[in-house]
Amino acid sequence: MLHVDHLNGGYIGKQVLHDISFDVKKGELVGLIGLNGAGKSTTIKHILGLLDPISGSVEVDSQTLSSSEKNYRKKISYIPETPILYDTLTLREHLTLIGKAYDIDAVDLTSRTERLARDMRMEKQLDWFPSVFSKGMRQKAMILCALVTKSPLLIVDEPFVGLDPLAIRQLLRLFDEYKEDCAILMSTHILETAERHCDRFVFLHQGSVIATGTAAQLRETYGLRPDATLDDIYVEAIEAEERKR
Amino acid sequence: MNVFKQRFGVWVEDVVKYSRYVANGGLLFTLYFTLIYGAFVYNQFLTDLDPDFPSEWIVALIWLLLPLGHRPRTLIQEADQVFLLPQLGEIRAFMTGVRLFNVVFAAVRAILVMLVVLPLLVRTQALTSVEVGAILATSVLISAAGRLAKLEGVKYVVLASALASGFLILFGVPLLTPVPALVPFVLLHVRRNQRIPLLDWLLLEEKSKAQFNRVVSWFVDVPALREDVRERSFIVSLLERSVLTRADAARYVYGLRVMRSNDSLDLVLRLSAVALVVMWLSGGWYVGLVVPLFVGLTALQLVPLFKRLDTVSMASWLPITRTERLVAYKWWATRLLFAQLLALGAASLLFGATWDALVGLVLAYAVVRYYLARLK
Repeated sequence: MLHVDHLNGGYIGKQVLHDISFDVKKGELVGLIGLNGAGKSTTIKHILGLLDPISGSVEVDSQTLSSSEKNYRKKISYIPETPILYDTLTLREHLTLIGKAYDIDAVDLTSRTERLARDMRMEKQLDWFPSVFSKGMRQKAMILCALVTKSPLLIVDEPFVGLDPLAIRQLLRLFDEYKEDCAILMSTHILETAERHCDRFVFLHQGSVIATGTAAQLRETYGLRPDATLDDIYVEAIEAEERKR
Repeated sequence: MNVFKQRFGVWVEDVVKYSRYVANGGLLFTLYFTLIYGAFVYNQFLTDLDPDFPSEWIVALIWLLLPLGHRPRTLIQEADQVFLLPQLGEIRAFMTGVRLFNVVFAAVRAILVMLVVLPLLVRTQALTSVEVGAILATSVLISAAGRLAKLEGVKYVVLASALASGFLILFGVPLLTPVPALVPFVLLHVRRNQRIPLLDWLLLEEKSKAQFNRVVSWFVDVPALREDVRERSFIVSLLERSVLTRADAARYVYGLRVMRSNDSLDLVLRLSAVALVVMWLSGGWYVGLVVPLFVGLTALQLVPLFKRLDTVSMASWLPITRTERLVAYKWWATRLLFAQLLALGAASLLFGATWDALVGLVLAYAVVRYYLARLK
């Protein structure tokens, strides 16, 4: 579903990503793991087409940004780390906007909205303006807007920030449902949750991919015990990389 | 370290920086022309003024309005909630500085208003220079008390004295009007904050800064601008049925924004209302030319708004291309400006325009086209 191929990129005058390659297949939830400044958000921005790559390519469901910007973007939905909502639109109007942007049938949109709003305990807030939302509600609103699209690739940047434990549990259940027909790339620092729910991991360090694979594969790569946690694997991966350099 | 002096320095730097943008912006020239035209029109109005004109009632009404609508600057920053806490009890000098700073602001506001109103009063009343001074002093006192009341979080303290001063001028004793205007200062002194009310002052500063940024954004792009939102369910439901249901995503989002934010539809309504007042005051003197002036003023503020809306928005990652967003914003801006142009054109005819109505409309059309062409 997502194919990142030898991607070099970053900001004007500052290259952040160095030759990054990885895939996310249909039915997978892949965790993008890295320290602060490892390049997770920059990678996501490149996939979303918000930054131009220096070289390399990003393909989503066989579409590239250069072939058709609109079709490419329709393949992706996104939950940013910091919620960005329009102050002048209610949550329901945000969902209508999403429906129009992704060409979702009105009946489908209504039924998906109702279901997701119920699941995320946001039914009452559908006609509220974002200015009265709490931090958690804003995050839930972003989640609703992304999940309602049912687009082939869902990109999630630190989804658990500001959510209560019930909402986190519900979100993970929704992710499990979502990935049945789609793919999810999730950047997070909460390794314990990632370990339990991600199918594979991409470890980023200083703008490069240092390891990819399932938890079991990564344990084997780094010669760790079978009960080693993702925390242990991650620390070992970073230390091994530092030793190499 | 004198925190007030340091913050005041930063404020001055900000004002100087943005003044440069303002001085370079095209809007300034339009404002100059508007002011010059307004001065001519007002002068005409004063020349033909009936001696029975109730100017003292206008002054009394202005005194009731002067304490309202102040947005005091407190020069408090968000980080102060953490870093200023240990010093809260010791920074009386900061509070005094902030109070004086706001009194100056309030005084300037009152003087500017009275510069317009006093000629009206002098034209219709037999006043001595001492009485004029007393009226000016009352205005400054009421304005300053209103601003300080907001700063100290004291409500309804100025209303009674503004009313009392108003009665005194209506009863023909303008010399005594400063007396009731002084009373709120006693109350404000008694109920003044002993320590900085951090959260309240932070909120005041944010509101005041937002107002400053709104004015600056007429001339230069200010991305971190907060907007006031009005629900306007009636207009929105009308639009929903006629336009929004069939609109694409970009037109939908901009349509709702235009209707609900205070810098689109509100801007058109505000400036149109001012234009109508100017037309009324002009007494038919080249009234048609008011149309391009105010349509130009609206376009100047409405058109650059797109850049700000486009800087950080959800639309950047949604399947809505920039071209679609641009076309959609142009669509709404065109309709708003042409509606204003036609409404003001019709009004100018009612206010006595003849051939100048046609010239005004042609000029206004050219102005709208010019500004829309700059939307890229």
